[in-house]
Amino acid sequence: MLRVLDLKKYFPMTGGLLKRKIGEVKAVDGVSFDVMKSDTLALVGESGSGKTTVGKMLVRILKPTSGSIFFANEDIAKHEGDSLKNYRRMAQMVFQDPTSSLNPRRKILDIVIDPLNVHKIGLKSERYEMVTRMMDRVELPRDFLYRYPHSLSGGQKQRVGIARAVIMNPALVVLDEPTASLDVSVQANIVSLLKEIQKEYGLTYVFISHNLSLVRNIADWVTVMYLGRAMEMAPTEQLFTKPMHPYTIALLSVVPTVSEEEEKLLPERVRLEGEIPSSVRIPKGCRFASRCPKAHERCSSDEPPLVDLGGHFVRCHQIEEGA
Amino acid sequence: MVQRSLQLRRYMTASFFRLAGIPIRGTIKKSLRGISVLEGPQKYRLEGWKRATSRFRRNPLSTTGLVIVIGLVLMGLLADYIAPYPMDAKGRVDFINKLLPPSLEHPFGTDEAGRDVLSRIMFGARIDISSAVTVQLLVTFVGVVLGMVAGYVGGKTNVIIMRTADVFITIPPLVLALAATTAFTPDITTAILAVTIAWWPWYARLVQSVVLSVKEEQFIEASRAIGKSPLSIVFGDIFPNIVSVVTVKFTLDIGFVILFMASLSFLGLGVQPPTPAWGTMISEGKSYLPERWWMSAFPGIFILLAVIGFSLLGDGLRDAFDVQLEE
Amino acid sequence: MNTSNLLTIRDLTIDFTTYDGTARVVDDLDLYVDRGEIVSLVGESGCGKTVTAKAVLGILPMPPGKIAEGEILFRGQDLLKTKDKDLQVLRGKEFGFVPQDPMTFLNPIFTIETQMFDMYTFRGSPDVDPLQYLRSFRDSRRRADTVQRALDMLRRVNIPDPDRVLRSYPVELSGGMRQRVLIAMALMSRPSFMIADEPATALDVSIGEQINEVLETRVREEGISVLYITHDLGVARRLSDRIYVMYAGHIVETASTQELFKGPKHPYTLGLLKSVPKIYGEISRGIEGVIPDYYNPPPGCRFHPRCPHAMPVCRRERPALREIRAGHRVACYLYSEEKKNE
Repeated sequence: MLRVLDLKKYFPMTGGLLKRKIGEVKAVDGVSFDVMKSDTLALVGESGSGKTTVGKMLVRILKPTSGSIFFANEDIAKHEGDSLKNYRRMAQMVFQDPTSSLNPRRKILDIVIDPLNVHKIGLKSERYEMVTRMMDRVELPRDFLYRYPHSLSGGQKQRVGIARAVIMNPALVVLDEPTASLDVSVQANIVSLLKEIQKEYGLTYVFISHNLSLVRNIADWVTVMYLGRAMEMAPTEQLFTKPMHPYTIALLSVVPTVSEEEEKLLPERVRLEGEIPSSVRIPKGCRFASRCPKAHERCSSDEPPLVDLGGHFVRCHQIEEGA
Repeated sequence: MVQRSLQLRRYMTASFFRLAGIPIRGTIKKSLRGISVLEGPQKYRLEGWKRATSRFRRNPLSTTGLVIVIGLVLMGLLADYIAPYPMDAKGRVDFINKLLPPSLEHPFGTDEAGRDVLSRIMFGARIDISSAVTVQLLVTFVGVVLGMVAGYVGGKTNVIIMRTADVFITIPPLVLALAATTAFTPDITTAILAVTIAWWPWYARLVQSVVLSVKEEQFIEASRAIGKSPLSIVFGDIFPNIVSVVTVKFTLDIGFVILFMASLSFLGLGVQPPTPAWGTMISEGKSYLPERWWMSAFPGIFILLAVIGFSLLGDGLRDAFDVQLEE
Repeated sequence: MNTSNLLTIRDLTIDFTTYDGTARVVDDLDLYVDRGEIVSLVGESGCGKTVTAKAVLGILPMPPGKIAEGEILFRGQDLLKTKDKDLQVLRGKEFGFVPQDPMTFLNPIFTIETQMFDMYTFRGSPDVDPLQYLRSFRDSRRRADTVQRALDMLRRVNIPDPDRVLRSYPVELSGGMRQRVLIAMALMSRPSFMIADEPATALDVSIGEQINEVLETRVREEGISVLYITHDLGVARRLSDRIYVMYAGHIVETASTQELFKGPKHPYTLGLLKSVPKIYGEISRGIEGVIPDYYNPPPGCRFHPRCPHAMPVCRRERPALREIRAGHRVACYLYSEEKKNE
């Protein structure tokens, strides 16, 4: 249903008195993936990986520098005006920080009814009904509609965010670390809600997160990103049981576990040295080489291509060579 | 086009009231929202309003300010009915009773034309306060619109608007008012326009800076993701965020504008006799100081009262808005 | 719990008074940290763990906050009864602190070197007058000594290029670097006790892991006692010797790390563990309900409205922490024989 091809986003850096362009931040440097209808694709990575930027491009908060996003056979990467507005009805986003993604000066009712008004969905008189039904669905009491965001808890605010995103019944929902700022118990609550809603409305999710255990619970496919590129892509089960890329293995090894059984299922702790390089000066060759425990000479000179090993994609010289 | 601007104005007033939580009349609301007015919303809107007012009331200073302001406004509005000698403000003269000190018949004494000072002060409230409020309204409207456009659109538009504002800021309001009233008709309208021209940049700057910071917030991004047009984002999402700041500045500045307009009328510009204005009264009475102090003193006290009242009110509003957000 | 512990908190009760009334954010808290051990204080947001830490450090804002009851004993001395001046000296010499957000602790307009020097030289000296401060700039030998020490410390927290870092401003460093600098600063004056307030939460997973590791290595090496505050049970499990689980202002369960994860007892702990997403198995629905209103807390056990095992007695009286096995204490009527049958 969604096909992304070689998506790139470069942000120009200006400097000097004349504000000339002195460089580029290559936030996303060529990412491709497919998402099947009603599936959940997880974009995993740390800061600088570009996962949030990809998410924003999918809902066109940002316009891709190059590349295509095919949605129902149309390349929406280049849409503008009315066709873009139509697309927006189909693709919505749930934001990371519920506090800043809700306008503190507007009532919950206004916030949730917004999309309906913008796209003129239903008759004016019906819209209030739709909002109340949505509130029931996200398990928020109806009188919250007349409150302001500041009197809601983090979890409740995030539910409002979900209500706002889903009320138009979009086909695609991008979730940008929706539970990152929430407590563990609230997180569990929100994630179950998301799963239920997905099943009920037949939604397709792109779930952005850095929390691998969470991803394991909700995603069908995982794409691991580093510095703007995909390093490994595989069905969830495979990624967790047979991780191949050194970065994936390192990430899995530092997942905090709460039991010995869990620990045994994960790879041995890998100590990653060094800092994440900046997206302005992308290192030559494999982007991960500077921190990779298995790096060779070749890794610092040639960037490995993404290789398809039977539905499991890896970008690593070592694997190619059958290491 | 005309219809859009009317709708816009209505929307702005409506959103102001809605923001303050004041329940607005069903008709206006219906035409804007298309939702039937229910039990629920009324109750909660009142609650929000009640909380804000209780917090406001808790601060004795701001309540004092409110009382003073309301008192002065009522005084001006009801002058015809409560002034002991209303005709004294409309051209009657009574030289037999001139220069009388304060007494029971004339609590504030009479001036050099025998007119009752108290009545003239009451009518003067009309001029002073209404002209200040008019200035503020004009200035706010111009400044807010330009500020929002500059802040949201950015780029060259922003630069143009802000630099223009900078130019106007350098013009001292008094000088401009003097020049204007000398060059054109020396009446109150000219004075109002002159002050407006000199004053609007402050509001534009304030609004622009708030808009710049609000623009980067995630909820604005969310609105873009939904597909709102820039106009609807500016007036629907950003506007409510500037209301509190602008309202506070509005109220605080009224005091200053009153003072300023009084200075103008003191210099003989603006209001023409026999219409009473506090500044004019001070000016007319100054040659009789210090023996016949009442002619200048009482108008002066009222100016002071007005400035204090509006300042306290503005401070209180700011605290009330802040706390609401802090919650 | 013996009084030879480094830090002992007893019956600590902290109230916050605002427009809406008085909220009892910490209620009857008992906690201790022994020499050389790492103790985790685990709880979700709003449970009062940061407030407790601030109270120990003495940086709790006292107008809205007030310590209603209790004592905080450090080496037997009650910090709450100590004079401010003496407290400053004590804190400077003995306490270290690693905050959640490194930027709030680093002054953006001074270089790291300046800040480390200042921190080291003037710690524990209350009332430094400006002249004294300015004079310190001219004491070149002292400066050189301190710089050496600082470099050494930076190396020990695995900063590869300490010279460069010393000369940099905080904004030029990454989050992980800044956190390391703060750890180095905290370690520089050889504290005997450290409080770490979620130091890895704001950082990326791999960087946070490095930070935790470096912290753990260094404190074990020097035998520093640590109170590690976190909401992440997994991190607590990895780092600490003992764990305190906190909910709505009081401790609901405490045990050695091994013991706690082998057999968690309190319904809240169980709920929390279930909510953690795991590599295997389904995610639970979380814990029903919301955290209580501190202005009007529920009577009895503060967790009872959300507890699947709530009994009538739970609504009446707050259960005390009782020892059910060696070192494992739970505040729950499920584990006290007499009350169970009421």
